[in-house]
Amino acid sequence: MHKNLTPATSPNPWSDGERHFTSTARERELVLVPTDVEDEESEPRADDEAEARHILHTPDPSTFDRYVTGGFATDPQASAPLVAPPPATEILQEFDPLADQEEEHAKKAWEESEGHPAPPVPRDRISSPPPPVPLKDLPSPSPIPIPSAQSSGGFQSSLVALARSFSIPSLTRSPKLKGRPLSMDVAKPVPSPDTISSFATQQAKQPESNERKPESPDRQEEEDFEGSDTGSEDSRPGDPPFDFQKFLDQMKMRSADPVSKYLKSFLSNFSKRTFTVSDQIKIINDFLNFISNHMRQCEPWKTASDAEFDNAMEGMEKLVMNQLYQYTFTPAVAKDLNPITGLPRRPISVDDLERDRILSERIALFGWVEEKHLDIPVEEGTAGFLMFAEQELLKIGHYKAPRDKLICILNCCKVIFGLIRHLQKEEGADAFVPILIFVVLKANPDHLLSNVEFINRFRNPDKLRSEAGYYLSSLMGAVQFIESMDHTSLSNITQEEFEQNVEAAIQELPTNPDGTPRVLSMGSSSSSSSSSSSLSSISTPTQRSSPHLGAESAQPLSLPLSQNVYSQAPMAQQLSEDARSSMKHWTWLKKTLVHRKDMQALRHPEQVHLQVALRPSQYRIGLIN
Amino acid sequence: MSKQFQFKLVLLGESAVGKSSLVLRFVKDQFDDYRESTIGAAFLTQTVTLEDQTTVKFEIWDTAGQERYKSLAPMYYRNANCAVVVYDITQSASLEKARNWIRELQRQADPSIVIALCGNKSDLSARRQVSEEEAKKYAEEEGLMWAETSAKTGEGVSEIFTAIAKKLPLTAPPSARTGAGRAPTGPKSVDLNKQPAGQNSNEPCYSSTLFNKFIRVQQVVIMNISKSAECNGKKANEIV
Repeated sequence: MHKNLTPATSPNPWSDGERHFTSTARERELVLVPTDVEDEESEPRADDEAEARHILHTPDPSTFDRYVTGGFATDPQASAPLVAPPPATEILQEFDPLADQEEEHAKKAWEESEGHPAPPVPRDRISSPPPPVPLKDLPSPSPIPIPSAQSSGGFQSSLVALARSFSIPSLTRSPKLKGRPLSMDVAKPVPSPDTISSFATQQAKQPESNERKPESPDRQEEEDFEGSDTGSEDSRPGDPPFDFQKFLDQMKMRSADPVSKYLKSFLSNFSKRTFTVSDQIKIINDFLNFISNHMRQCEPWKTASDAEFDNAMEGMEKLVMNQLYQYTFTPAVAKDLNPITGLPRRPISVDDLERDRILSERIALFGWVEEKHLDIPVEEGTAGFLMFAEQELLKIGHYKAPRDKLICILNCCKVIFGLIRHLQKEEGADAFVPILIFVVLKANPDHLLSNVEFINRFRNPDKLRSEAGYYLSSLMGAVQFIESMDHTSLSNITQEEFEQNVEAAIQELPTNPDGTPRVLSMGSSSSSSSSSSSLSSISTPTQRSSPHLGAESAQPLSLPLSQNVYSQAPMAQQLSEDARSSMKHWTWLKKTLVHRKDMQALRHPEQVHLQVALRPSQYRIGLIN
Repeated sequence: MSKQFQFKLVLLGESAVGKSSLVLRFVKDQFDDYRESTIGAAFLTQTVTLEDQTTVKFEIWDTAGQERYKSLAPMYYRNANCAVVVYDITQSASLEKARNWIRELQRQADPSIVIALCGNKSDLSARRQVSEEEAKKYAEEEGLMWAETSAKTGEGVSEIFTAIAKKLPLTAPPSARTGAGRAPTGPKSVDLNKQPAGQNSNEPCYSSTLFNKFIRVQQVVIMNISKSAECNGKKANEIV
């Protein structure tokens, strides 16, 4: 037993004494020793034919079929010979949010949540809310007038190109992905096309093949399709995309039973006790290290490539954090009230909520800030991109897993770079930072600091380096800028104007019962009330009833890479080429959405996500033209 | 097997001196299939291969050069192993700004940081306001690397980055990529007693702000061990 619990190969993270301690601690405190595992050291039952197939990691057409036909585990065909025999129901229910009744609830919640996952209107725009665009309007043949490419100019083409790029992961993905979003960490962007037109051609091929997908349930055809899809940018060999469902399926395999049981035991014990935040970080990190050792010892992960195993650990982190969200995300802890005392069931040892409140109230003072104050050029289309970016950032409050929250931040930054390209400004921090600040000001996401802290605490540190680290630092830089912003920080404004604007903003703030502006009030009561009101702006009662809301995967946007930067062609030519191809795409995208709706493809959350994500752009285009 | 190193490089300088173009030139010129940046060109990576087949990968952190964002710079240069401070040879004021950055780096950044002063737009030498001698003399006084570059023509660009790569401490053993996600060795393989940046660390990428924060948290945890151990004992008794 000890042998199993102590990572045999790794140097100890902290110190030898501590390793000793942690392994014993694990045994005792977290009761990771599953009482009902017969013998963990026994050979994994890899001789089972079904499991052996999984080891190969070839995409299983039957599982794909299952998603296309819309059935999940209940579909009799889904458990056809190629799939491992279904595991015990209890394990299924424990780990697979999509395996039981609650799946339906979660999906229902998705479909019924109007503004979801992007909360519709940033707070400072409530005074003039845009008319809600009902979801059902989307697929109607021509919900908005589409101007010709010539009249629309650069904005139309860029925004449409952006919208088109949304389609890459979700609509044009390879069937191997089984309808799940890609991982930002593994999903490589589109292979570098030599010119923008070759990129367009490459993209243009996708729709045709994809439209066949729902219409060709025949398995043989699907296989052909897969074979012909090897050129797709999504299926780079050796770089499997993150697929949470695949991970959940793996967890259900019989050979993964020991891992499942350890996990179950860990989750159950974690929920029974209250830990300080630093202990939580350590315990969760320890568990993930511990379980990774065990995963490596059993199928299907024993034979997985490093990249596949990395995905599995991503899945494990996501699964664990989805399950522990209510104990680890400070606003969620604060929301979990004891009905008798009215206080949170668990003590809150960090000042996240207070920091959230202060930032949020400070941002509320700057609702009047305009693009010119941060030297952001206002051109046709700027507003559309900014709206997109705000909504991507606002999604951070929806997702549970740190990985998904991080993707929201990175997606927001991607849209900002889309805007920079659209404005034909030099790509770099000079252009990026002001726009990011502006987006944070306008979006004013609830619990921004709690969310960032949550990512810092519980995201795999390896994944917080490099690029993700840069953009997280930039976000924190934007926050810091806002925290110390005065008239000297802004352009095109005098000290007098600045002070007048802030004064006016203070007057407009909602006041407390005693008449003092909320911005001046202190104490946890206002923070908890603001947190609950803000959360309710996103969630509907239906959503609350579903514990799995937010457990799905965030979808990394794949914007076309910086064509303008890398191509030698003159900018104008690129844009016109882009405009030509993008109009085609835009029409296609709409058609596909209609089609998909008919096929009831909306069962998959990420497709709803796509629709919601597209809506504002349509709305914007309708507005502007 | 060749050695691999990874370093964080921060890019400073007034806006409009061509910081971003300089880096784009560097990144774009060498590898056409460069694909590491998935978000945008404010963060880029580029690998330099030295004569002895050692590869040095730069993680390039661009900063906003406008004066009003000056206070954000520490977020970016924290734990940087090297800095490229760019000025425009046609704008003497931009060298003044560069001097300010260098002073700040010398005061605030990691003491072992390698700083290169870079006079950009050498293709516009007809409009030169900053003489080579002046800049070179200043760089020598401050112990900086110095070069003139042209992001437009590419002149001197890869040379300066290669020179930086050579100057960085390359004595650590090759970095062992764990490749297995949250590997048990994890980030904790960094020696906590060491300054994270520039100390021959083969994994300076761990020296990101967030990581250091993480490490600090872990250190606190270590200090709390005895306390936790007590709790654990209690818990164990309960369970039994």
